[in-house]
Amino acid sequence: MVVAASALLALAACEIPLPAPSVTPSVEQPGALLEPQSTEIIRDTLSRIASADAASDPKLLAPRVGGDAADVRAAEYAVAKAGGDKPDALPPTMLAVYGPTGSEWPRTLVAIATAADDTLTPVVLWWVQDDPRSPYELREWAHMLPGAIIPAMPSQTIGDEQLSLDAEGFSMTPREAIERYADLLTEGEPEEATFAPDTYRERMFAARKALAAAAKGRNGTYQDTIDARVDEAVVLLTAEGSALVLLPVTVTSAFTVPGAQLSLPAADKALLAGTLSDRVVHHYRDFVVLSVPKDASLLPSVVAADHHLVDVTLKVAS
Amino acid sequence: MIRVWAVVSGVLGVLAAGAGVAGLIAKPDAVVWAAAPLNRSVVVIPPQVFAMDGVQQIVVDADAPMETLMGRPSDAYAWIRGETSVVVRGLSSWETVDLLAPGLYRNEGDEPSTDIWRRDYASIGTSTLRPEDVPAGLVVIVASQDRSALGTVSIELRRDPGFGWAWPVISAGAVLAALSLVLFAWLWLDLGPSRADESPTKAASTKASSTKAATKAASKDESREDEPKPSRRARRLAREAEETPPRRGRAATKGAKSGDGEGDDS
Repeated sequence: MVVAASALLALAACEIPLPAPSVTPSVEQPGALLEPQSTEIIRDTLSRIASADAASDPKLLAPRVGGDAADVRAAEYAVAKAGGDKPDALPPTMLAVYGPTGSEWPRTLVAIATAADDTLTPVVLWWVQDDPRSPYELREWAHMLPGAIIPAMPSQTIGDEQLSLDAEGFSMTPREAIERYADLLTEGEPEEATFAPDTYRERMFAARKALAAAAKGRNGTYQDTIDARVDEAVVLLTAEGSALVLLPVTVTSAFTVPGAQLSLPAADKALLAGTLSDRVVHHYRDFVVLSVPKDASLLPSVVAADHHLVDVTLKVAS
Repeated sequence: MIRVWAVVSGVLGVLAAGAGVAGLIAKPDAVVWAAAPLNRSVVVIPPQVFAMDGVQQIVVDADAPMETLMGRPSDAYAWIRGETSVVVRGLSSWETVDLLAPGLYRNEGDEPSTDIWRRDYASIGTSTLRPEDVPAGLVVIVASQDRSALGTVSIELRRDPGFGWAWPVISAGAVLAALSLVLFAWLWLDLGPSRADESPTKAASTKASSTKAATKAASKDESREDEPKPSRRARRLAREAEETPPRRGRAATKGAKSGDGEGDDS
């Protein structure tokens, strides 16, 4: 009996093997931003914009609205206070939301909001998260151009793959598309079309032509300076294999008539600091969404773009 | 022979039952809790820990209100670079959670965004996490909201303690002991008279009435080792019986009884 009991105790003393954390389960939904997360980000953003709109106070936009979007909204408040147009309407209903994937930062969230009314087109909104501890921040928005179609994108559970500017497999690399479109905006329409027609550049060229003619009639000058901010551009791979390029563009328009006393519309005056004389510079923060097709026989096109006035100064450097 | 079987089954039964009971006493607990003090404001629980065999729940306790965050590993590990955290690596023993405390980071005191988290919720006192409540592959982070040190992390585990044979052995022992009792009872009640003649025990219990029986037994015992030997007293009585003619009377009967009785004991 004693022997048996001793044997049992010896058995009991033997270690039961410890479980080890050897299995690494894979994430079922690899997308970095699932629908509930993006819904909350969009809701919070629009809520803060509504609060800021009600008070015409751009400080209330933080931390959900920043960068160009905050500057544009602040300018819109100033213009509206001076009797100009109301701020752009950003409808709360989303037609589509495209979330990121991968493990790198900055990350991008794109949403397409419905048109605010029958006279307008849907709005493309672009959020950026700079690092894991920062919030997604609305940086840009632009209305879709009439007739434009945004290519199908992967679902949020998978997420959009972000490409480098030099990614190949398209009619041209995204970087080439940006550079060529910036050249196009600077130099005007070339003899041979490199981009599909779009109303954004048509309006820009029309305004440029009128202002240049007005300046020239008084021995003055008019010059648009286009700065495509390539370093801030983001390229997304669409579901059909094309590239969607999100491109912030800074446009500086300088109008000079030596010896003249220029005047401005009331809305523009609201953004002017100083006393106007013979030179005025308008600063714009534009947002352009380019579609670069996979098929080399197709021309790249602009699917959304807005020309946002943010400042009016007496010198080129704002 | 039946007596042998009764004794053997009785002994085996008691031994088996004793071994089974000893096994039950020595058997480790099937459910155990391993724990460790955290001493840091953020604890990271990787998905591998939730996937370990036998994990029932993981409980983090703290005095301060806590926030529990679940996210993709790449997001969570990027997020904790700004925190002074401790990582649960598994178990160092059945009683102790294995922790890894990376180097200290300075917390800037900012209130980080919760955008990257698939789920986040606040709790007070304890945060209880069951594997079935955590989507596969996600990292769980529990952090005190005021970034004071958390209390402890405890893992409840269900394991196979072994000793599964204890109850079957106890049952077998009980059966053997019962069988032994039945055999002894059978012998005691003399339910098998035909066999009693074959058995020395039975022969004794039938109270053989003559001293000759004892005498014969005593004399044959010397040449038959497999039969019980009579005691010295029985042999002495047998010699006396041979030397003096048998008398009807109490002495012979008494002596036979006495000799039989002692022979039983041998």
